[in-house]
Amino acid sequence: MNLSCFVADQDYLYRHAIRPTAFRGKAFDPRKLFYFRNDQHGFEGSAIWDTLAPNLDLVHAYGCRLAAQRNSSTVAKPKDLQVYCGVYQFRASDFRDLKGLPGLEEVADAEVTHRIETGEISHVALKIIVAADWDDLEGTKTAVVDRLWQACRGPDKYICKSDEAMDPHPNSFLSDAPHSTTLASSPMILHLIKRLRFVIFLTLYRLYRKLSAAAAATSISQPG
Amino acid sequence: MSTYEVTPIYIQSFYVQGTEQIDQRALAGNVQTHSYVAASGIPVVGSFAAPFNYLSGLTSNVVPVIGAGELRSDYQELGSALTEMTRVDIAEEWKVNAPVLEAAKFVASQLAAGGFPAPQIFNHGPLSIVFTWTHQADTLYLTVSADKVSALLSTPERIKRRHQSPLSEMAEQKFLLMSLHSYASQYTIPLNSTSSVELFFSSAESAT
Repeated sequence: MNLSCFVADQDYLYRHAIRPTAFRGKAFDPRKLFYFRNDQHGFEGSAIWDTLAPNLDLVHAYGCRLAAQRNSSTVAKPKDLQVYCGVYQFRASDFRDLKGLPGLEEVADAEVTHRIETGEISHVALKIIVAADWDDLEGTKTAVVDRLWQACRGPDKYICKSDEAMDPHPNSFLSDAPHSTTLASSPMILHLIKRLRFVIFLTLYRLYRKLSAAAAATSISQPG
Repeated sequence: MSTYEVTPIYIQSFYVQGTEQIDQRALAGNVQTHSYVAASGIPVVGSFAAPFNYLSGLTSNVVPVIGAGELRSDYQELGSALTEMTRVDIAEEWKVNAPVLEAAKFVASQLAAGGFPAPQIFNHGPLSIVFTWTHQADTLYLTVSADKVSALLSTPERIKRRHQSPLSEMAEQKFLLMSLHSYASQYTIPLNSTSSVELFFSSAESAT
């Protein structure tokens, strides 16, 4: 299921700050907030789409699940434990406008694509496609990270239940975002529409999962 | 291309022993070695490496003496931070590749020899290390990958300048050369003073 066509320019996206990934030692490093993985035509990162995470409780819950998931997959030293610290917010248009930005002429496209990942329905891919003859992806990444951070608002700090005993909690080291220190919110009517879309999509997604599981069970029981 | 061996001169001894010795040895080791980097790849790990060909155009007194102790300390921390990026227990997606680390150490040695204030560093992943300096509203980034260096000068409002070059040509690039010359020529100004940093940024901007 893909709702990419519904990601509007004015929609808000969230990026989770997790220690130690976004930290350098004890200090938060905003340039490490975004992680982009190279692919065939450029590079790609991740964010959360507010339409399918229409309140901050859902956004923070995702952050806690993400940190817990990473911790469960590796045996880490205490200082390397993944700790969710809070989120930063930017608009979909902040990312899309990287295409055509003076100084970033190599960016052929900057698209926000809805892509469910590890069962997280609000996950979106932030995809940068560069010109075919461009050979300096790393330099482009630096410029993209620099511009995205300037567009950020926040942070909205959070402490997961599993981290309540931490003192001090690393979220105390998060930096104020350059654009604004407070998160923006959608107008009430738009917010209600988003909540309605969220409920409808969640219902459809659960139905889709059940049907997929049933179809898979049927194909197993009737081989050939 | 010249490929003869150049004796490694370690950064620590460079700063402890002072300007005279390093200049003589560096210059002696670099006569006619303008292609050294391209010929031999990335130079000596963790050392004051050979390809300081820009030094050949300078006199021995241009390497800053004032503040050398502070500079040494800052660059020692930088060296530790660089090495930390390849720790075995770092997640693969963040662990820096060995050729990138070598390239970053080469660039760091050039910066140290030029008397630059030590940068802060971060990485996007395995394929590059980024050196940064911030002064007032300006941020200068040098993105070092295995075979190239990209410079970006930005403000909160916009990207002011960008420039890319192969690593092997780094020392010949106007962007860095003019910055280094301008900075080094002010060696009597204590390192990390406001005026030095301003000069560094203004020359970086005008040179691109």
